[in-house]
Amino acid sequence: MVGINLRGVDVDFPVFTSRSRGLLNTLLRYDKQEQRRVEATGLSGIQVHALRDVNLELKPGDRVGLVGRNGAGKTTLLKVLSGVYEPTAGYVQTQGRVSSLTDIMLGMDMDATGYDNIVLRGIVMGLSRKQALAMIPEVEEFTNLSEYLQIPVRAYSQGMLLRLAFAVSTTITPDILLMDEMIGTGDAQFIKKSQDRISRLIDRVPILVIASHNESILNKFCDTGLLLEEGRIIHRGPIQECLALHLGSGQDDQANPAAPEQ
Amino acid sequence: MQTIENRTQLALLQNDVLQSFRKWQFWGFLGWNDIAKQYRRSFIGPVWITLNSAIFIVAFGLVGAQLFKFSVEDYLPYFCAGQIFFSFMSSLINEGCDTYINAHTFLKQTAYPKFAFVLRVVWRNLLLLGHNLAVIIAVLLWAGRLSQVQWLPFLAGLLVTILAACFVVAIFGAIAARYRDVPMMVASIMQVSFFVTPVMWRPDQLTERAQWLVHLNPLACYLEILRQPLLGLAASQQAWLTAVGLLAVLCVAFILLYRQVRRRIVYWL
Repeated sequence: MVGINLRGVDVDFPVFTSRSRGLLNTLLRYDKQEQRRVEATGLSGIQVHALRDVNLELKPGDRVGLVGRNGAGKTTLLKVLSGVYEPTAGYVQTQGRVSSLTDIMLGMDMDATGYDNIVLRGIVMGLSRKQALAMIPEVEEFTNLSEYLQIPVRAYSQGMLLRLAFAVSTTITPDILLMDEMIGTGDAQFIKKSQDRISRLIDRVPILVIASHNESILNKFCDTGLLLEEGRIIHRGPIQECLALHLGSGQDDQANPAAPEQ
Repeated sequence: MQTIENRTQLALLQNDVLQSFRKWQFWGFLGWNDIAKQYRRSFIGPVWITLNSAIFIVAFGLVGAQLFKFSVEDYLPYFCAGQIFFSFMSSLINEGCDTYINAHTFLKQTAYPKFAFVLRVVWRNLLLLGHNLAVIIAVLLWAGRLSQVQWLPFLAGLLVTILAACFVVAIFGAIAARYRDVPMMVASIMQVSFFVTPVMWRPDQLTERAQWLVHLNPLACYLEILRQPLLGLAASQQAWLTAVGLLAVLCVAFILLYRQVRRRIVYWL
């Protein structure tokens, strides 16, 4: 069955200084003081605790919104769900094809034609060449780029380029769709068209997870919410409840600037 | 506890490599596109690189034959094959360092198997080697030595080199992702290694005391098993043993390194 299961997931990021980034620096300037610190704390280098003890089970039908301040761990959690970050501790079990619509231009080549880019983008999203070629008619129809598809995309306007990327990225229906803020593109008339398309895609996918600061988007597409703070899930429940809690704490923030991350 | 952890990491590594081969369309297309990019920018594309190396090879081939007092018919094929295979190996090592650094946009968005990007780099360089082989064939044809080529030993040598290249690219890719000064260090080492590897000179020109330059130089043994068969000669047994032995060492090093660091690579990008 399609789903994702997280148990006791921790994610720690190493923070590199210019000193620990280079091999020569690391080998030559490894001094006694540093050695003592490592022995005492068992930690080498600086770590940022991005996620702490996250437990989460996603099943078909789940529509989850991630809520929290900047740096609370929303994006990191999405990246654990997509499998980009293999957790430092705990385990992740994933069943089904995951797609994250974060960088919809990933893999596109400015010097290649529109058609070549449809295939490139399709293959980058995990399709075979044949499956990627099969997307062409739908993309042609949606983008209305007609003969422009035959020329290199570097000649496109920003809007045309986004339209192409958007069309290709939303043609495939994954089992689990992950989004970091809503994607939407183009001029006024295209915005309506692309919003319809993304809504239809969202209706089709079994599992949806969106991280967003936009209340109306979260209310529209999600029913469950997860409120994150400093890498922990501090509340789970209906999305309205999470938003209310988040907005409530948000007011405190303004009076009291947030403490620096870790 | 530690052994269980290590065993699962080993299983994950095995899965990574298997998945990578299964996704041959992905790295195959990306590697091909890296070459196609050069074709799109100018009509003859990477043929420029071939032409460049052809011009350099012919020019130095003529001078080198004079310098080292060989006949041009002997020296040009020797230098040509040496130069092309050496640049194949050195660009594999240099580009190997950028394997993951250049793929960060991919790796930070979707869970791709890591080894697929290693295969992309190796595949891209094989495609380029394919272009450059045309120069070798032309030179051999000119020297009237094409019929002497021992194709089977050549293909065996190529296979061993490709396997070793996969491990080398993987190892350097991971280390360079963590330590960003490694690509620079590797680039300067490769520059020097051109002169200490028998690319333009022959091992028998060295004095007895300097033979270690050839015997202890891993690039020299791979160069020998690639070049000798094309010149219609057999590579020495010692070169074969070193090449295969080194392949085994690289394989073990790859497994030990990746068992530890495979899952951390994305964190370093």
